[in-house]
Amino acid sequence: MRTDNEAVINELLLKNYDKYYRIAFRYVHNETDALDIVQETAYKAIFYSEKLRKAEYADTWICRILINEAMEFFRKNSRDYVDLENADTGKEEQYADIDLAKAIDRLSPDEKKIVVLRYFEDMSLNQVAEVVGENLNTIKSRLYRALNKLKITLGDA
Amino acid sequence: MTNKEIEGKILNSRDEEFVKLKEEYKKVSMPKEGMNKVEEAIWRAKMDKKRQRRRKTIRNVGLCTAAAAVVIVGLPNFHADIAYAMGNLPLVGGFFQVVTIRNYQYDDGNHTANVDIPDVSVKGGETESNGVNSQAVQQVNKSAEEYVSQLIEQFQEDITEEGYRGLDVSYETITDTDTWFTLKISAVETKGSGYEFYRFYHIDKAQDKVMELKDLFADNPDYVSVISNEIKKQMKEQMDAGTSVYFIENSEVPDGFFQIKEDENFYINANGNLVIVFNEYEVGPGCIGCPEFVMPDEIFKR
Repeated sequence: MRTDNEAVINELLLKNYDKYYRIAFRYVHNETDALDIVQETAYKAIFYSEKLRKAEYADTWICRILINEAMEFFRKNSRDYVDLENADTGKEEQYADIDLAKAIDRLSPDEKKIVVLRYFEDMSLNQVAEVVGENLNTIKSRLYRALNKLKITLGDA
Repeated sequence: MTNKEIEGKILNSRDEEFVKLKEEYKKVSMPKEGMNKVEEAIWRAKMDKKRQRRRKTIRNVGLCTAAAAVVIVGLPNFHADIAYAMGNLPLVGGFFQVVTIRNYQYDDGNHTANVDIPDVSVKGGETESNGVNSQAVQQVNKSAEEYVSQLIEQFQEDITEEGYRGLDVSYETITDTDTWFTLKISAVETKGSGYEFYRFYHIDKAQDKVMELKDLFADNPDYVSVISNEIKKQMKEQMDAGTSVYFIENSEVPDGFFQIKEDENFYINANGNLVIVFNEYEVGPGCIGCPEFVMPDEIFKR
């Protein structure tokens, strides 16, 4: 049983790495940090594979670790964010000029993760709730709050 | 407008932009060297796991992810009630500032540390006219520095052993009002699995005194059992509701939670309620992070 979990997780990591990377990238906007997050996620997912109860939830479970890692990163680095704006990094994402992208980035980390999973990874609200580890109603109200914020930021144009 | 309509409106009104953004998003793919890194991480995890199994020192119980511990959200300043403020004009008025006085960093690939050592001072305290020289502030600075230095020493000892070791220490001002100041130090130690723990420092500005839990209950010697019982009640409620898991002392868990320490970690939240904070693994499995329990008004109210 135990090795099964590990094998399933191992396979998913090698199969879905692009997806995990994308989610991480959406948060940190740069290659190095996104890679670090995926790497740390891979490590933890394998290391704690016994704690996964059912192998069929493996993907959700990995996403959950990933989100936690991304949030942790965000928390640790939030103090440095001011400097980032002036930093001259060639690897920043290309679409930063789109208003919507900016508006999404201005959401709180909690709101942002839900928007990313729901609309960019096309997860159902139920899946989002599983990944984030909160109940459906919390997710719903947070999502609508996020959407309202987007509406205000973007103006009613 | 219903929520559904709001959702539709936003997505539709920005349809083109959203589609474009999503396309851009989907185009992001992992750089080639990323694959090697993922494989390397998988391998490293497997090795560490074997090593740990051999040592049989797995200490955390329960089925859960290695979820990052709960983060305490910065609390807005709250105004202590007027009666209190009128009775005791603050000795150390005004706000405090906290800066990093020293930063310790270490990285040799296998062992990494990033430690910020805080230094508290009274804003404008350097000018003569204010004449502010807070004893409590000095005490907190000294104590915090000693505490963090100990963590660094422990880390330096640990890195002589094989395997990955990490230490991350940061601080945060939880409260800074006319009458009260709370500094929180968060530490994460990584030895195979991560361990997060906190330490809070409180200053009562009215008395210029460093406050511990017992100081809040000077007239109630029973506070340890009162608070412990309340926590056990809340734990049980949450477990019955299936929202969390704790180790409460009973026949199956003889070394589970029994009562709080006399100087247990706490802070006072925006509503003036007392919040007891435990470290990771202290009262439950790692997945619940550092749990907090808000005490009802009848136990404590600012």
